[in-house]
Amino acid sequence: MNGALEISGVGLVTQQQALDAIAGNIANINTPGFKRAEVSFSDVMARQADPMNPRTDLARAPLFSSVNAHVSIALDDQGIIESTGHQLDLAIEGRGFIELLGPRGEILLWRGGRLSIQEDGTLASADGMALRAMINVPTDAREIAVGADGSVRAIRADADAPVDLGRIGLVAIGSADDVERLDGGLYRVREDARVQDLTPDQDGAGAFVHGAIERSNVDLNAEMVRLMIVQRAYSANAQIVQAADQLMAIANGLRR
Amino acid sequence: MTQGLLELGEVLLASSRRRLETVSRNVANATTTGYKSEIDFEQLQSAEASTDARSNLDIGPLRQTDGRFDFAIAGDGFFQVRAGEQLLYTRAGAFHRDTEGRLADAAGALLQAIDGGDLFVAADAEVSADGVVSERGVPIARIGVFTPHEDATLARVSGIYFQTDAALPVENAQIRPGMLEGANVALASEMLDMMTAIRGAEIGARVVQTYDTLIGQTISTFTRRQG
Repeated sequence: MNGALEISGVGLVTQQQALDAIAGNIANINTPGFKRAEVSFSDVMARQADPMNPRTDLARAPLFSSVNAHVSIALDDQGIIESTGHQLDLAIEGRGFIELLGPRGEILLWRGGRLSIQEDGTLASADGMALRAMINVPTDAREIAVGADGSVRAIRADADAPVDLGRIGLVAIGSADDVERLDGGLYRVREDARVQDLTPDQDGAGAFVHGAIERSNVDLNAEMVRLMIVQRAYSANAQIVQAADQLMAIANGLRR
Repeated sequence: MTQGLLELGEVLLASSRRRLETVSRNVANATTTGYKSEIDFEQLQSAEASTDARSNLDIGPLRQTDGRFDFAIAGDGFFQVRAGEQLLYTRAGAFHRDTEGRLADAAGALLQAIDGGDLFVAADAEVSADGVVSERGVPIARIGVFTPHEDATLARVSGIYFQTDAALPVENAQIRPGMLEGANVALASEMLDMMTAIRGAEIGARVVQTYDTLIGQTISTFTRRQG
């Protein structure tokens, strides 16, 4: 058995995963509210010594072959809030999420973006998922305003004073590992994880910014540098694969 | 004599294979946070013996990540992490808050405070350069940075974890929050080692073949004399 071939093969796979993450980040650089993916490697391959006997010969120790390309989402990193002036745009400054009702009634988390008003007047995300706060916008509303605390007000066609429609709440997650990413800036909470309701006076709870959109937190320079590092690591691994193959060819050629 | 020649060839082939395996582990981990590269044992026999002859403990390059629970140690020392009942030492400082609020690394090992015990933190905890963890301005714990006692050995458990029987806290240890230490793998020297391994195997193969030719000639010479 040729260990070098196997190890560098695993190295190629993990660098490929890193490359996929970088490609996803760059592709979404203009997606509002997108949070970049980060890959961290922990011990791709190493010899594992017997913990009971620290003086074991490592060269003979069994191969410890966990591929740990850990992809995490940089949820805590705030994107730049860009004012759009559109009255249905909503961004969050802080670490909270808006809760949405998914197509099967499940709770999805959303970092904000463009809102839409459904035919029945419900306030929803642009792709039609209603806010969990279930805010009903009257058909004759001509102006909608969302306060920093999430309170939604509308001015009706025949009135000057705004009417209260309800309040959008914010929730927080324990860590970025508690959610998985869906398309369109949506996140699903993992089964064993819980979300925590935030109150506006809580630290880092976040505030709503009306008429603005959060840009993605992807930094193109950083991604390009990572791309180059990953590419170099990939080709070095490929070189080792070739060298391992050469060693096998030498062994094969021993008997002429 | 010829028996010794065959053994020499075998040793050359086997050590080339081992050396390439070492290179492959180092290269596969060239992007692994906190990875300490392995030094081929044969290379070290003439060099000065260090705490662990098989690990290169040079500090890897620190890079900015801005991760809230990413830490790098500026200078000597190791983080102490608990994996089950076992205490391990590592310079891989990429931690996250697990479901119970403890700081865990990707493998689930738990970061230990300077006076022992798991570190429990709030999601918005702040860490200062001296390793003090604060929540809303109130210090709650301090991250431990340890170094093995000068008489103790440092054994390599894996590429990022080490083990020692006696560790002392480092005084005035400097922690860089929002940074991680990269692998200390020098790709150029690994590529050189890779080429050396191939050439070594070629020499080994040549020796074995020379032995084979000699034996072949001996056999055919005696066969001809008999006939």
